[in-house]
Amino acid sequence: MPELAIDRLSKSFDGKMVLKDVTFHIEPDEFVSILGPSGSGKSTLFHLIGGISQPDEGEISLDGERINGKKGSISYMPQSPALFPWRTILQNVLLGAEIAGKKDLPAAVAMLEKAGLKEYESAYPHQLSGGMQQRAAFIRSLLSPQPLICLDEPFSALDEFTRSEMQQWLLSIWMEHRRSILFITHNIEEALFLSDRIIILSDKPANVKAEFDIPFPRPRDESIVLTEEFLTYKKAVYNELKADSGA
Amino acid sequence: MRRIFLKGWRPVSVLILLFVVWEISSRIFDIPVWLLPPPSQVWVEIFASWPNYSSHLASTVRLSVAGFLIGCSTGLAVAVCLHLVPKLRETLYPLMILSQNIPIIVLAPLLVIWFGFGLAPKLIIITLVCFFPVTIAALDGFRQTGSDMMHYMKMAGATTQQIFWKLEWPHAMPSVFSGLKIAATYSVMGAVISEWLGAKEGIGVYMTLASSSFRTTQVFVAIFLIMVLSLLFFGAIVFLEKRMIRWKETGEEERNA
Repeated sequence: MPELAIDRLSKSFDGKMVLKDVTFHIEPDEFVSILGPSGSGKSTLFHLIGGISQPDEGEISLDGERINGKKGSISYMPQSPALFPWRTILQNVLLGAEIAGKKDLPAAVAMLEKAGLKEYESAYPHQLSGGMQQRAAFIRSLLSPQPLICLDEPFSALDEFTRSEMQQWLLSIWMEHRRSILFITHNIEEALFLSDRIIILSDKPANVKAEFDIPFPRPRDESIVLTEEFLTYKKAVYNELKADSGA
Repeated sequence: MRRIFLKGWRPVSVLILLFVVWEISSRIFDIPVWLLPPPSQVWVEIFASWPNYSSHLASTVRLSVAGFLIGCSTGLAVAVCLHLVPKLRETLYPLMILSQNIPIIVLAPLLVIWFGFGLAPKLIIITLVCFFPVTIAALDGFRQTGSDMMHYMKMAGATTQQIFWKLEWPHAMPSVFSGLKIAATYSVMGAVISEWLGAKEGIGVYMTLASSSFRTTQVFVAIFLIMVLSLLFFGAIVFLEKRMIRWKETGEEERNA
């Protein structure tokens, strides 16, 4: 049974269709990226999965249970870290679990240590660099009890070096603590490097246009981005995205 | 300590200069003491008449602290209610602003007519001047919550109660403290005004007695006491703020460094 199943999801705002018959699924422990031009309704999709807004048509189900308009069924990591400035890093990473009512302090401490944030445990967010803040934000979503984590362009505000470092880090943590992940990005290379599968959305109204299975073995090394195979995939994905804007 | 000195020497020297000019001019122009006493004489009077005004001072301190506490709790409670029930805010916000447009000097005698010369009208006056800055500051703090954090809370499935206690309340704390600082200084002024109406003791009474008998030096002593009291209250709130909002203070220090 798929972890998350999206079935013919449609949503419009003020008569303008943003999502149209979007259908895809995520298997347990699978890393799926959604790639699409900016403004293609990726955020709307997250709002629907997160239960903040209701779809006009279609079904969203998690573990076989319908979660249309049901808040708190997924764990979420926003584009900006959105750490709470008055909480220490340790208190911050516990927030997701706290909201769900399942606080586990020893697990949080252990996780921070693994993530290389041990020394920042009692620091406040402003004392951390952007990359470190994003790490804390990811740990926060990893410590939340929900089975699916949705990441909304989490590295888009970081510089190129930090970004590739973060991708490596994300994969290493994820390999140890497997979860189903839905990752939204507009960076082709990032999607290729991280995912098991890439879903390409078309421009307004968004629709699933193509799906690519990415067969690179894990654990993945940074060097794969320079291989012939990687470039072939990149070209294919790029053409698929490009075809869209031409249409 | 060094930092205080570096930052403080300018205002302190201006103050000293002012006193010097005042002292010299009152001597040169031979201004009668009942009109404008020189600062040296006020200074002597402060120590000389301590036994005369100490009970007045204690009474004013008690009154302002009580009024401040009542006013601020009322202010916070009002802010929370108005924030959590938006309809209530729309309905009562204009009324709240109107309540601040009534001059206290006009309202005070009315309160005496309704509630007599006891403690009640005095506390009402202080509450009226204290609650407003706190309410407005807290309401602003609640409303200006970071949209990123709010979005996260909603996506994480937080209830209204969780959003309030985990996000809006701590987020509003710095602005609540700004309101508290204003209220702290207002509370002393409110207390003195309320004592003018009729009280057995208090700095307000001491001041009225002094001015009606042309003991101007004592009026200045009263002014000095009010200023010191306001500053002390203000300082107490700043101290509390630094203790409670450490996450913000450290941030500013780092930026200054």
